[in-house]
Amino acid sequence: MEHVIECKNLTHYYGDKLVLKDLNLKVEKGRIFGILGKNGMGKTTTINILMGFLRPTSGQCLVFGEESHKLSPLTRQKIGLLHEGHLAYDFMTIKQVENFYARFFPNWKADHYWDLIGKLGLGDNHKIRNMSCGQRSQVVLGLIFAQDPELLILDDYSMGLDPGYRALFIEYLQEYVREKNKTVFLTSHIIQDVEKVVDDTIIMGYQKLLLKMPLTTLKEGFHRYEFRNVNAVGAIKVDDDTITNVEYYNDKITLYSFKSTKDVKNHLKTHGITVDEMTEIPMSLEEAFIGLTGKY
Amino acid sequence: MLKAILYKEWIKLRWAVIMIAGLTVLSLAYTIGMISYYVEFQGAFSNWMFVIGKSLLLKNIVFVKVLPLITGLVFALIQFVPEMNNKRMRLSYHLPISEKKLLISSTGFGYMFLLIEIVFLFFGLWLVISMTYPAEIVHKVLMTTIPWFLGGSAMYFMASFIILEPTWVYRIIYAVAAYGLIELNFRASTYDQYQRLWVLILIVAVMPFTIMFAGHRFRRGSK
Repeated sequence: MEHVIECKNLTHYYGDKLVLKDLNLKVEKGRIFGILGKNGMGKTTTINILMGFLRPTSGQCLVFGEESHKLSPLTRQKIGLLHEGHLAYDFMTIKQVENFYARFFPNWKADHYWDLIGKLGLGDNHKIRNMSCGQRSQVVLGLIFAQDPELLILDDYSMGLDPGYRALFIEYLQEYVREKNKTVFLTSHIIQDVEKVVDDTIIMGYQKLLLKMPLTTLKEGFHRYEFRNVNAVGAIKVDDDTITNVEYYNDKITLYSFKSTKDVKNHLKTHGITVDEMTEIPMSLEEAFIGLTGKY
Repeated sequence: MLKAILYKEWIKLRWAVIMIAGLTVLSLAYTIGMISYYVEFQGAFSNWMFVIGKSLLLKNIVFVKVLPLITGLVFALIQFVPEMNNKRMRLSYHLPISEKKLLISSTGFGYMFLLIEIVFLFFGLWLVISMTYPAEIVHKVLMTTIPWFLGGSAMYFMASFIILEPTWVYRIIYAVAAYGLIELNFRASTYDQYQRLWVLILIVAVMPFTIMFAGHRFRRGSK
């Protein structure tokens, strides 16, 4: 299996602060890989390492087989990068920015750019700095599509976008990526959008990887159970094997687990907690994400 | 690719280039006016006493002294502040062009306009002064202006270096050092005081490398 991205034991500190610890991941060609996590969990740090803007404290990242902190210009040509906040040369106009980028990429597909821009209804001489975040996101996406890269890296693409532009962004991305068999590596904290596009996912928690699996496995295999037992309040310990997370509200206890009802009941029983009636409550992916990462 | 980089820099610089070009022409016109005034209305003796003896000519070409300095600062600000704002420089660093080529072409392009201004001022001044004064005076005045032009160049390189530096603490330290290095070029109060111009030239020649250093620090995410 060909891996476009491969990170081994990636660890990074900002001063004394540990941000990433032993992160391992592989992104296969043609897959859409999503890193999900709340803000400050190291998503952007991972992207910055991947793109050579940070050198990891230890560990290694390979992109197209090259070490990420010394990517050659030829390899960078194969990567379409969307920076956090839809960063663009805001002193340029719509036309100027297209003129500028076109000269760097031999397979430049101007039509992709102008198709997207046409929908904005703005003049060619409209300055990027005078655009809303949503409009700017379309410009940046158009530039990436026109570049026709093999790998798209999208850092928190949903940041600052209203629901309309988020939907538009996802719609175009989905169509483009599936049609052209591109590899995508994206980060986001808005789960319901990612659900529509991502094949594989990792969920990052504070200084650790919480989960690494295809999204469908997460949706089907992760459960939320509720029961009431006043004596069990505060007595259930979170462990990686059975109880992934636990929440208390008065005598109502909510458990998150990859195990079946029967396994969870047995686990609780071995810890001296008897549960007569436990109900499984269906979850959306967003609720599953909160169940994994916690509300705080 | 090089053309694209120059295109981007031109978009940022064009209005400043036009304004500075206008100011350069105006400052030369002012110098012509002042010299004509001394020659026409003050007479030969006054000319010798004040213009030559008391370095009055130097005081009247003050625009030649400060213009390259202002230009160097303005060009560096216009070129690199937008790049550092929101760390936009990362966009440039992701382009399929080597870091070295990117920085050399960007700063080279900005410096080229400053150099054009310097050459224009130097030869303009030579033309203006040589119409009235003897060759010895022309030589002394022009030799006096060379450190000012070096000061303008130093301002461009140091300002670019400081702006591209990713951390504020280092920026402040560099700014103090830059002040000292630039000020070296503006110490003369009378004609042709510098006997060791080559030292100043050497210092300015080393400065572009500092831009590479700051650019590299930014690329590596230094904090």
